[in-house]
This record gives sequence, C-alpha cells and structure tokens, in this order.
Amino acid sequence: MECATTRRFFALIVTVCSALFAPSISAHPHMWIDAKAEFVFDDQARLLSIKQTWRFDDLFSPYAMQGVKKGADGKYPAATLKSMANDWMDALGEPISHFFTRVRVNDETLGFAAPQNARLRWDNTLNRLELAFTLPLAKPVALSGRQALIDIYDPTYFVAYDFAGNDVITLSRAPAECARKYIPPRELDYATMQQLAAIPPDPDPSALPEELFAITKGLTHRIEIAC
Amino acid sequence: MPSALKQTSAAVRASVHPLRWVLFLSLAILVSLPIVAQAAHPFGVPEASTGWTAPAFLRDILGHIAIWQSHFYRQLTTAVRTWQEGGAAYLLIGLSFAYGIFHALGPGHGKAVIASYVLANRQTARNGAILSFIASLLQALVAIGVVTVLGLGFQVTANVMNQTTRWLEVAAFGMVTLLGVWLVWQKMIRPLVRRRATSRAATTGAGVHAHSHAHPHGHAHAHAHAHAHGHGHAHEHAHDHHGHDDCCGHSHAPDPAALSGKLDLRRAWAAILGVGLRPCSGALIVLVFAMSQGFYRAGIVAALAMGVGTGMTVAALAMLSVWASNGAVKVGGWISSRTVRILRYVIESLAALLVLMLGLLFMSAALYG
Repeated sequence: MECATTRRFFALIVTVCSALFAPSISAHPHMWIDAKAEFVFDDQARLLSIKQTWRFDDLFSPYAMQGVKKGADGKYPAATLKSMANDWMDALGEPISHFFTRVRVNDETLGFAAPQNARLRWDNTLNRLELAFTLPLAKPVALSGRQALIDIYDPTYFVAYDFAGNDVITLSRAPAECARKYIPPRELDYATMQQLAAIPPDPDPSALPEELFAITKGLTHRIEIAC
Repeated sequence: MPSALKQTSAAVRASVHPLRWVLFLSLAILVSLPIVAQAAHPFGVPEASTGWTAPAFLRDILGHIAIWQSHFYRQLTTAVRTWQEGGAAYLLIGLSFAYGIFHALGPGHGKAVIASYVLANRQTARNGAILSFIASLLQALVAIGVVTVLGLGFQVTANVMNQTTRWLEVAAFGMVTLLGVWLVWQKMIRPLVRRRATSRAATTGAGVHAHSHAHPHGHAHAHAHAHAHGHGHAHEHAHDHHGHDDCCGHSHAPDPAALSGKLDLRRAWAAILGVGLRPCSGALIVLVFAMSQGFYRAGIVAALAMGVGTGMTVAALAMLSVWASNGAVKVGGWISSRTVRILRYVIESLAALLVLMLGLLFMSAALYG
C-alpha cells in the first residue's frame, strides 16, 4: 500500500543503511613536519642518542604561537618557548606516543631515557616553529655486526613527517664502518592508513599492533644503521 | 462528528510530527559525529580522531578524498599571501571552496543529520538543500566568531582556543544526548504506556474514537476491517491513528506541513545547531593564520568559502537521500502494515537507545578523553 507508513518506514531503512555505510574518520595528515635526525655515538662506538629537529608547517606554526606576544627584540620570550617545549615533550613522551620514534635492534625495541635539551625556536625568515630535542637511549647499544632499525612516524597519521634533503639524516662520532640507509615510506597509501587508524589505541604500551603493522607495511620513515 | 475528528487528528499530527524528525535526526547524529579523543594527540589541534572503519570498498575513495583535501589545505597559505601581496582573491576562494567540498565528504559536518531530518519530514529536496547551507554556514560563522572573539579580542593561546572548541563540541554532543533521552521516552516508553491505557479504554465501549497516541508513530492501521472514519461510532479495538495522509481509504486531512513545502525553521533548529555548533577546524586554523599575517579578512573569506563548499556537499547528499527514499517507497508495497508497524517500533526503540548511548559516549570522550 502506498501509505505514509510505508514511505516513512523505508525512509527509515534507507537512513539506517546509509548510516551504516557512512564514511569513517579519514586518518590523514593535518600537520606536516620537516624532520632532521642526527644519530650520536659515544666513545665506545655505541649508539647513544638521537637528536631530532622538527620544523612545523606554516599553518600550524602561527596557530601554536597565537596569543604569545613577541618581545621588544622582535622575538618570542625565551621562557614561553621553553615551557611550550617542555609541555610538548611531556605530551610526546612514553608510553602513548614515545616521541613518534621507535628503535629496534635484533627485534628488540629499545627504551628511551628522558629527553634532553628540548627547545623551541621560531624561525623569523620562514615564519615557522622548530622543535629540537635529544632523545637518549635508556642504555647505549653497541651496533657492531648488528643493525639498528629506527622508525619515525605518527601512528595516528595526524602528523606527516618528511625527511627531505640530502643531509637531514646524519651520524655523529660514529665509527668509520657504520653506514646509514634511509627508506622513505610507501607513497600515499591512505587505504592502508585507514586500516591502521581504525585500530583502537591499546592502553598497554607494550602491545601496539598498529605500529608493528605500519612498520611491516613500510609506512614509516625507516632509517637503518649498520656497523 | 467531523469537527471532533479534525480536532483530534490535528492534535495527533502535532504530537507525532516532531517526533519523527527527532528519530531520524538522532539516528543520523550517531553516525555523523566522530568520536572525540583530542587529549590523546600531543599537538592537539582541534580535530576529532579515529572512529569507525569504513568498509573496504569505500576506503580507497576516502583515501583519495583525504589526499585532495590535504592538497588544498597546504596551498591555503600561499593563496592568502598571494592576495595579501596584491594578487587576486580567487585562488584563496577557490581553494577554500574545494577544501570545503572534500572535507565534508569525510566524516562529520552533519551530512547524515540533515539528510535524515529531511527524510523524516518529507521535506522537498529544495528545502533539504537550504537546510544544509544554513547549517554549514553556521559552522563557518561559529569558527569566525571563536577566532575573532578569542583570538583577536582576548588574544588567547592555542590551548584556550582548543579548549573552547572542545566545549562547543561537548555542547553539540550534549544535544545528542538530550535528543536520545527524549527519543527513548517518546519512541520506546510512551507508546507502550499509551497502548495499555487505550486498550483498557476501548473495552469499556467509549462512544467516541479512542484515539490513542500509543502508536509507534508510523501510520499503520490495526484495523481488522476496512472502515471509513467519517462517523463516530465506538471502536472496540484500539486503532492506530495517523491523520497524515489521505491514503488507506481514510478521510483524514493530509499533513499541512508536508503540503506547504515551506521550511519550518522552528522544527529544524536542533538539526541546524547540532551540526553548526561545531566549528570547522580547517577554518579555525586558516583564520588564525590570516590573523598572524595581519590580513584577517582573508581568513573570513576563506572560512565562508569553506562553509559554502561543505554546504554543497551536504546539500547534495540531502537531495540524494530524498530521491532515494522516494524510490524506495515504490518497493515496499507488499509488506503488511502490521508488520511494518511492529518493525518500526522495534527499530525506533533501538535507534532511540543507540542515540542515547552514543550521546553519552561522545560526551564522556569529549569531557574525559
């Protein structure tokens, strides 16, 4: 019967069905970071720490600095920058984001000690914000005959990293036989990224399936150091 | 007695009509609002984070949409500077508009809310489109308002602005919860209560129509026999009353709201606010950028262009859903009205409960996530 009942009932069905197939959250970058990484070795030729420099994009930089007034010298007050840097290091820390960095040697993920020398710098010519910090390994690791695999990326795909340029990944005070290799992530595989982003965050920091999945799928910035 | 009949049918119409749109509205809100877990990300720019997964066949398309959205987004700063340095504004307007279109194809922006409201009220496609634009432009205006008052006015920091956005979202999600509460009451509890009351009244042999409100707001008839309702003799069964359409052989006046084709903004306010209260994050960031460049009008123009873009996408979906529902009606002739009625009640009750649960879930995620 062509009744209002039937019409509305089917409107209901149509709505429910379209609701079930409604698009999900698209995990895609909202922030871009031009990154640099310097791997520092100690006197015993062990990998000691990673110095990272993250330059934020030109939309996020003014957003982050809004409401902060520049001083008489045309620069942002150092105290404000320092406290912002500290806040961010806290937010980036273990166990949730672990600084978006993962170091593995012989299939074992190494832990980090507390980050040092965190500082924020405003580049006046580029009008961009730069966060620099040193991330020491909990224990320095000797790499002779072994390979260190370092993955840098944001598992939620909110941030897109970029290691562009020739000298953005360097070794410092490394033994002569150490070589580094940079493998960029697979291009724009957002379909896989959607899969990853859909995995709910696991409260247990030692079980991060989406990270391992991203690593195996080649979606991270991979740096391999072999000595 | 025709005049008593008309009075009662008018009363029933008045009570039933808003309930249906509330049902669809809430059904839709539950899918359109992404789950908020902003505290989780260290660089907490106001943007909702992960929710449900799309089915596989949609993932590729969504991925490409996300890529295009990012492309347009990254060009926005160049476009602002171009205009500021004396170039034309068209680049910024075009990019913002394109960003709005693709951004609204992703989750959020109330597509399902508006579409469902339009379906439930049997609005024309035209009214659906108008509603979509009003809601989307409200989002742009809220973004402009937030940045102007907080950014230009109070010169707050990013943290404060993020917090404000979160509270606006909590307000919107709060509306979902309230709707859920109302829905559960109207769709699940009241029909049961009234049906019991009416069946008692009917067996006492009342001399007038026992018009019961205990129907699931579908408009089926529980008559065991075909009956013209022009006369007011006692019906010994509680019958469902619809009073909306002139089909099924009854002489009830058709629903004037459906006939008029006019957009009833009083009814649509909840749909508009539920969508519009949440400012678009892209607009917020561009506005702040323009402010930092000392060229705020570019931000306002960009935000409005984004609003028009999202409005177009939402309007297109609303119109599609109207046409789809019109098409689906033709298919449904063979289901009996009683089955339809029962199914409706079950679905509506479940939907009402879902809305309530999701409203609470969204709110708790926004407040404590």
